[in-house]
Amino acid sequence: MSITINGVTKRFGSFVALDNLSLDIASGELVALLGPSGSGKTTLLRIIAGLESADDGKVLFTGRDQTGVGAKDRGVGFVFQHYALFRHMTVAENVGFGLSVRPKATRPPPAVIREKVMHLLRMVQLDWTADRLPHQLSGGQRQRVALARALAVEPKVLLLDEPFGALDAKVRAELRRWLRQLHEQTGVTTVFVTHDQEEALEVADRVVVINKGHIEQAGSPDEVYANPATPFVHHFLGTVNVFHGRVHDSLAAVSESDVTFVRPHDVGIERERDETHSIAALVRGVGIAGALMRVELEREAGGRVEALLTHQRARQLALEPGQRVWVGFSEFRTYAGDSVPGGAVPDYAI
Amino acid sequence: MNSSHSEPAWVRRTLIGSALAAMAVVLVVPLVAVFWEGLAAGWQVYWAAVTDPDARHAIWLTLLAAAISLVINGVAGIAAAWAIAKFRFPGRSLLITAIELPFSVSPVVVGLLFVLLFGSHGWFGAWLQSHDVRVIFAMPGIVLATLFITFPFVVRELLPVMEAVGSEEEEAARVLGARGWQILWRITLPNVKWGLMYGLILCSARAIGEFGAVSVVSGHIRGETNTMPLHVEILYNDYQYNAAFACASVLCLTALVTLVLKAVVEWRAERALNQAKVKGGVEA
Repeated sequence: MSITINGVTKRFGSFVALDNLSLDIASGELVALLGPSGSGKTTLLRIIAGLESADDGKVLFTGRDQTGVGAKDRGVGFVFQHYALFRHMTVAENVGFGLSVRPKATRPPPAVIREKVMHLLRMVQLDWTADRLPHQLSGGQRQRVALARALAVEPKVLLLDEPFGALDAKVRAELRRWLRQLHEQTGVTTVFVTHDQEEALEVADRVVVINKGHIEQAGSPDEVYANPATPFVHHFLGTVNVFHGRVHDSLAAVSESDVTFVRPHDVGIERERDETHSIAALVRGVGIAGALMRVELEREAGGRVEALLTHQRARQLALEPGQRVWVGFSEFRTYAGDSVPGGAVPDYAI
Repeated sequence: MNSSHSEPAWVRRTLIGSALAAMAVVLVVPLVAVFWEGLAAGWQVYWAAVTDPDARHAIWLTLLAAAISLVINGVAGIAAAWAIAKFRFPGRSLLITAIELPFSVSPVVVGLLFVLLFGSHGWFGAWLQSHDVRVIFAMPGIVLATLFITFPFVVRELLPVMEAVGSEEEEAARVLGARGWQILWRITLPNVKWGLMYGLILCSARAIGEFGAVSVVSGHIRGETNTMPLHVEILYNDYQYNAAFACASVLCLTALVTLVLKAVVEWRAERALNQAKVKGGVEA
């Protein structure tokens, strides 16, 4: 089922959570709503679910206006950040709840419900927890139960609000892959909210970057990462070095009004000056950042620069703190100064 | 005993000892005395006093008023606590204060208030009389006064529990297709059942024991509008001490029963809370 969001506006008092926002989500798509806290992404998700109503604008499911259709009749599955499992019901009762509250005419008999519940629990690899209470499960297990519960009613749309936000890093990574797989199996139109750019880029077919109630950019993970439409997107999707000035021939020449963003892995380091490495800097520190090495540099002209190198390259260079090196940028992007939101961008280098 | 307490042992012993002594004088001795005096003239007198028709009627009326209060205040308390806990609306804090009003007004004033409203010279007195409805010096007045006095208990116990539980489970149920009544019976009430039980127990204890407000509106008609506490007072004023204490001991028994129930509910509620805490804890 496709979702159309048409000029939706939502205010809480004087705070504008969503500002005339429009978005089309194709049937079967897996979309991430990515943004900082307070950007309006959760509000948008709750409006799609019918848990909040828009002050203005419409939400359509396959072209049908959902205004006036309550959350219970929209046929969506919703997964909450803190699971929201029914604490006094067993895992099986939780998963079967959506089927057991149906009106008599459409309610399956208990045996059929039980069958379906066990099928879903096997799918999330938790069939052995059927008769336990939620508080006896770990966070990751609870969230899988919550997903099974949402899927039990065969929703046409699956909505997830920061589904992995309360879990630790390892479980989170596991569940991300699992969500991706699940989506491939079921093909249900899925929208999930996250503030974690890595999660959005890794899981989604399409990333919608939201800031202050409007869409900054929507596109494939490659597109938004490689071609950020705005300084906000560039900065929000990963670390950047910020230079106040315009880069000419890989030289940071000062032109006060403009701002240049360089990602740390686009910073190159050489021991000898050459055509593309012409900024003098001192090594301040070298450390491991997972699969890469992080190098902290200080330009001789002043200001810090962060670089990410492969371990192999770092060994080749044999960098030592205090050493003098030459720095160049393989990729960078310059924005007119007035398009850069103040405050949102910390200055690595001036 | 927490080892961080640095007071010397004799200070602790003195404090605990004097607290226990005070409790014995104020609580235990009178309680024992009630039973002692009630049984002083023998079991037969005791039994006769308790099974006297006036006494039986008083017991019945007391339990009836308590039962009506339980039902009405239970339903109204759930509704009020739910509205206050889940919604933000203008006048919300005023409503919370207003709900506590019966606690801060003297029961006698509450009784007079109902006489002023429904008595024969009261605001609605003439209208009620013309329709042949008796409120004051009759059962409805007693029920009204009891209702008013016991209204805050359920709300006060439910409100913090409902606020702690939050709305997410109800939202989850709604998205899964549950209707309003299904959410109430299957999600909201099971989540607050221990708080509700506790509130109802306090409500019934107070309803059974209420004297001041009921005394003003009842008119003390023996075998008609006397509740247990009023019956005890009348017997006492008639110098029938043994009978008075016998009936008083029945009241004490109901109090002891509610005390035990209260302890059980508290214990269960605490266990439920601990489980909820484990549930809320961050683990993976």
